[in-house]
Amino acid sequence: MPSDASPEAGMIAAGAADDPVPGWVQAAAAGDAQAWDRLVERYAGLVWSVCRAHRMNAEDAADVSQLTWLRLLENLDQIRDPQRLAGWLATTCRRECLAFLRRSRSYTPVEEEHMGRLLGGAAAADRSVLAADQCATLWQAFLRLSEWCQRVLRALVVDAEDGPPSYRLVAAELQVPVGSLGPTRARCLSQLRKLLDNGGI
Amino acid sequence: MILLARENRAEMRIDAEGTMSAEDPPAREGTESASHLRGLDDEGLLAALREMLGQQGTAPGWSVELAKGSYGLRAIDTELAALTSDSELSTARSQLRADGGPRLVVFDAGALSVEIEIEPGNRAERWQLIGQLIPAGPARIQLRRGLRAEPAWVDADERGRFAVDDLVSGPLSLICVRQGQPATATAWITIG
Repeated sequence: MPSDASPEAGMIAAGAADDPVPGWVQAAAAGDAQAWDRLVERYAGLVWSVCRAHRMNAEDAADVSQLTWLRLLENLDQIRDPQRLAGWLATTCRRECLAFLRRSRSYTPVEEEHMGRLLGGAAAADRSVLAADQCATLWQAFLRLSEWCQRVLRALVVDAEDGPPSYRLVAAELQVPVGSLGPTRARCLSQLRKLLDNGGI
Repeated sequence: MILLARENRAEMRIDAEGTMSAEDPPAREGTESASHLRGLDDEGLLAALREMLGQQGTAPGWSVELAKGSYGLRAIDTELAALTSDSELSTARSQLRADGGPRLVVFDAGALSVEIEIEPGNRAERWQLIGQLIPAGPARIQLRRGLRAEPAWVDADERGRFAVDDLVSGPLSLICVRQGQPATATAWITIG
């Protein structure tokens, strides 16, 4: 690891011991509303984007994401592997999306996987890079990155009002030298690939 | 119709366990998409992240608040009756439904099953529900409507039957309270 001034030494990958999610799940199951809030804040983007990747409008996405959260709520004390909560939520949300689409449109019933491909294909044709299942998979890997990598990558890709952010702006925002961003970006992306390697979910 | 739902239950249980179980998702799911994503170069991966984290990946504040607020709907000291059959999620049933039959939903807890039929009500966008508790017997039943409405109560009669009219669309869960038994909360479903 280069000795640049970024505050990231050893922070590229989050160790299992640093993962706050199991503690939040346990606390929320025991009645701690703040722990529940932390869970929602962490995974709201995942749930929402899985809904949107199924081409739902905001109103329908709201219904399905609410049902997904209620599903988690009723199963809080039965989540066996909280470190894989992202996978659980993504899978649950996808299933609720497909159920919703079956209910709301008079689809000819098809197998879920086939349907997922159809929907994914439609979304891809719709300028979208990500099909619904890819979106869920990418979220799961992304959330297993260190907080630092998540911040860096987020800052690098989320457009400002007037277009893509420059390295200079991102470096200023993160308070790191401009020169460190390239190597950090490369390390974080490589870590992300490794996490995708580890079985996706 | 309720009897039909019972006949299908064994077959549906497999489906429903896959659907609603709290267990980990199957490992094979996501493998294909993971290998596609891994194959992207840095720019491709960043483009995927841009899409994921951009507008589509940012839940609106009100939906985050709704999710946080739903914690208040946690059913405490109740046994969960899992969704084991839903005609709208079953291929065979959805074909039947095209004929306009009611939606049939079955929930099972260890000592109690709750079967409900949902049909369009007399007013537009309203629904009516009739239900059956098994084993049959009287109960107080609380209807929970997510955060959209205050919970309401209805009684099941000696034969375990109950009926509710004029339900609006949205989330629904029932808590059944029987004398001398632990309360049972059904899994959430969406009606409408």
